[in-house]
This record gives sequence, structure tokens and C-alpha cells, in this order.
Amino acid sequence: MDVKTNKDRLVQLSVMGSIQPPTSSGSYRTTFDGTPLLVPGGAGIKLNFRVGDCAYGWVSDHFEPGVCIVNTGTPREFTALNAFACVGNETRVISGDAQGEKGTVTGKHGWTKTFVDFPMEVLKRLTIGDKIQVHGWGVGLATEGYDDIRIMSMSPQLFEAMPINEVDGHLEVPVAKIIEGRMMGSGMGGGSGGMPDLGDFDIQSTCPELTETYDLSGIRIGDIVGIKDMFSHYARGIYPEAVTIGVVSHGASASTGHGPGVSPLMSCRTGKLMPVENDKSNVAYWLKIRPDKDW
Amino acid sequence: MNTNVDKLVKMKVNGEIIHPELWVERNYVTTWDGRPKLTVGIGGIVHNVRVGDPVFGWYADHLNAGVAVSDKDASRQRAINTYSCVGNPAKVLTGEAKGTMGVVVGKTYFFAGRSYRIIVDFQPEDLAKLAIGDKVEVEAWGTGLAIDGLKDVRIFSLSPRLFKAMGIEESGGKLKVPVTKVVPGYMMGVGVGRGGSHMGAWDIQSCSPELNESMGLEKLRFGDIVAVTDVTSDYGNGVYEDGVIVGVVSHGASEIGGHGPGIASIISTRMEHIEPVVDPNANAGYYLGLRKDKGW
Repeated sequence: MDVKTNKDRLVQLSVMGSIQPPTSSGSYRTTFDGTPLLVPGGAGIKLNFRVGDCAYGWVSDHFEPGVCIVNTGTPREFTALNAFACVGNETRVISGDAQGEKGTVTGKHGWTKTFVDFPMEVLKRLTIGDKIQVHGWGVGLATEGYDDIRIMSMSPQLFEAMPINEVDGHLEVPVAKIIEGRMMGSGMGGGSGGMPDLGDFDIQSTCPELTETYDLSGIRIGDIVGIKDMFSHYARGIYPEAVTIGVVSHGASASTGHGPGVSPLMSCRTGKLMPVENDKSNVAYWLKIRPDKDW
Repeated sequence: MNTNVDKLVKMKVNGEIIHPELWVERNYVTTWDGRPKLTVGIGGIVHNVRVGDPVFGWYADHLNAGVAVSDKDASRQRAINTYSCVGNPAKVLTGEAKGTMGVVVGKTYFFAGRSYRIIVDFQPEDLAKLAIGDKVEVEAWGTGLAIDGLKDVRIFSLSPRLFKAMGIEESGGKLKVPVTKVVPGYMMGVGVGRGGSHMGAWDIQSCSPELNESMGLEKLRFGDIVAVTDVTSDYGNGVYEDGVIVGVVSHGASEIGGHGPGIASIISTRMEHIEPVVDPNANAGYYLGLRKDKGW
């Protein structure tokens, strides 16, 4: 790790949410091909679907990994939780049986949901409604000499755990997959209030042929991916030659235009950011939070 | 110098540690020079910046160094903010840090959210145990503080403890008050015209980098005691020829036009009654013994 950052000038502050209860519309989802679908997806606590697991192939839709927390306060407060919680930040359970246990932020969805992973024995003791406090650290992260790269939702912990290297005046970032910009769907533009610091946008997973052509079905939750022709400085949108690096936050979908979510971590349109393929590049691998998996 | 300190009521007020907020929900603010900025640092528990640390140089806006305490009810919020004085002791009533003691070091007003909060300093090992929502009680003491024979000197938000620790001297009806800096009144921005100068803070504008440099504002620290000339905080904040106020730096710098480090007024009078004496150690953290780790 030879790249200098401004991490000592960043504020460390606590933000908080509680484990969101799953909800249901009482009706079916309609898939891209007109099939009514009744499957679980968002919120709550997932015991067998965590960061590091495959984002495709589950009997689910927009499957959210591990623990999903939301802040039920005012819009200024719940967007503050989502904006200030950075991937790799430490979390602490404030109430309930698992009080005092530590977890890790792994991704975001929409503009309200923040995902936290805990070791399995902690997941089993958590319950819906438990309060989780995030030690937010990372807003404003920047690398010395790379003013053209905007970094967001990325903790200094994750930045330093990843082998991000300076090569010939640009930064090389390991990614599990490089994705064509044309595959990006829901969440483009103003989907999260225009702020790429919040939530995610989706790799469209509703055309089986394209998923196969681009070999996307092996993408895991937590994978660091590089998106071509995508600029995510202050909103997410197409821009030739730009690159967005992000983390896969939630699972695939059968709704048209939807699919696994990507929370942007870095963005650049001047060629200073270079994704380099490394199939291990996953938040759980870099932060060593899934020792049970054979990376 | 005699005061009415033994006639002042000591009473408990309590609030809770409030959640951080964005200046604009789901959006950036626009800085004075037209850049989008994510406003981090308003509300909540700040772990790595405390009273005594520099106000500038953080990726933040209106940063509260320490813990922000308020109440959702506007009336209770104003009571906590009015009666809490800089230097009053605070105690955590609930949660893992129950029983932990802190000290009030500032008062702020969140302009976008229209709410008042007090800033409480805790030792780093105690900060780690705090949680948003924890109840914090202040032993409020200081409202109404006055100096015998100086009825034109208005004092508020100043605890008897800090008043004494500052070593203010009087000679010939003139108070010698230690300050780190004397700021001209035309630098004051948001907060001018807001009634209730005994609550919250008003801002020294930091949106002109040239003025920040020429006035040495970049050296300001959280907790610094500063004087501002040609203004009044007697019964509201505004311009006043030969008026002078003394305040405590309560929140950090800003890049929003018209905003900047917030100062909570503690003394308001006319120049004939006061002589600000520049002393680099004039900081609430120094006087209250809160930053033993600093060399001062």
C-alpha cells in the first residue's frame, strides 16, 4: 500500500440504525417475462446468505445479505446513516442479546439500507429491531496526487486492505470482474437522490443471454467490480472512457432493468483509475470476514 | 471582583445524543464557489476531534467536536440550550457508558434543521462506549451571572467554573478578558439577526480563503475564546458601534457562503467596559483541564 491518503483529516463519527423488519406488499412481483413471483428479498437477518456468497441463483429477488439496518428518523438522519457508513467500517450492537458484538459494513441499497456482516454465531443471536451503531469513517477520502479520482463509501480500512498500486501515473485497483457500462440499470441518474454516496445501482440481470455472454452469473456479494464507460462523481451516468469501481451489495433480480446492486467506491474519467482483474477481489476476502470460505 | 454566583440556581436539564444529519436530505450542499459537498460532522458522536483541536483542515462542515446533545421537542431543546453553560458537568444516564462524566464545551444551532444542540466533551475511552440516543444530563449553573457594579456587561452561557478559571480581572470598571483572537464584526455571518443570543452560536464567515489567511483564522481551535468588535449579543446578535462580544468557538469551519466557525456568545458589552487581552492559551479546554494530552 504505497498510495498516500488523507485519512487523518477525516472525521470519525457514529451513525446508527436498527435491523429492518421484512415487509411485503401482499402481492406478487412481476418478472421481465411476465411471471408472477413470490419470494423473500429485502431487510431482516439472513443466516445463509452473506458477503462472499454468489449474487445469482437464489430463490429470491434483490436478496440482501447478512443484516440490513435502516434509520427510522428524519430524511436528514436516515440519509446521514447511508452516506456516512463506509464499506469496511466497524459496527457495534447497542441493544439485545448480542450487545457489544462487532460487525462490518459491506454495502448499501436504495438510499436507506446499509448492510452489515457479523460472524455466524453473532447472526444467530441478533433479532429484528436490534440497534447497530456504525463507526463512520471515510467520507472525503482522497488520494494524494489523484484529484481526478472521487472516492465514496470506502473506509480507510478497506482502502488499505486492498492492494491499490500506483503504476505509471494511475491507480490500479483489483476487481473480480469488469462490467460493460451498458449493463447498468436501475439507480442510474437520480435513483438515489442523485448521490452516488448513497445506495447502489444495478447490473441488469434480466436478459439471460447477456448474463451468459458477459459471464456474470458467478458474481458474488462483496465483489469489487469495475464498470466501463460509467462516471459516478456526483450522480451515476454513462460517460465514454470513464471508470467506476464499486462493490456488489445485493443479489440478482428478475424485474426488468434490475439486478445485483453496485455501491460505487471510486470514479474517474481521465484515465487515472485502472481496474485490474483478480478473481479474489471481494470485501470479505480483503477484510478477512469469511474465514469459512475457500478463497 | 464580586459576582452574584451564590444567588444562581443550579438545576438539572437532560437531552439525548442526537443522530448526525445531512445539511440537505439526499443531496450535497453547494459551496461558496459552486462545488458539491457532503456535509459530514453535524450531530452525533465525533471520535477523533475534540475541544482544543484545530477548526480548519478536516473534511467536514460545521463539525461539532465531541458529542451533540439535544431534544426532539423544540421547547425542551431551547431549555437545555439556554440553561447549559460552557464548563457545566454532564453525566450519561443510560447505556453502556452510564455514569460517565463529561463537560459542556459549546452550543450550536443547526441552521438547516432549525435546532439547537449543546456540545459535550468526553475522554476518548468513554467516547467509545457512547451510543446515539443515550440520555445525557447537565447540571446547569450560570444563567443570570452578573458582576457587581457592571450592569452593562451581559453574561450568558458561561459557567461560574469557567468564569473563575479564565482569571478575568477588573480595574477601573474595565474587564480584562483573555482571548486568542480579536475578530472584526464585519466577519460575522449567519446568526446575525437571530434572536436568542443566549442559545446556539453565530458564525465567523470562513468562505473567503484570502480573509481566513489574512486574519489568521486558520489557527482557530475548538473551544477558543475570541472577541468580536463592533457587534452586540445583548438581546440578539447584530452590528453595534463600539460593542464587543466574547464567545467560545463551538463548531468548525464551513465552505457554505456566509457560514464558518460558530461562536457561542458568553459576554456582551461596550468597549468602555472591556479590554480583550490576547493569550494563546485562552481556550475552554485549557481552562477546564480537558486536554491534559496537549502541550498548550
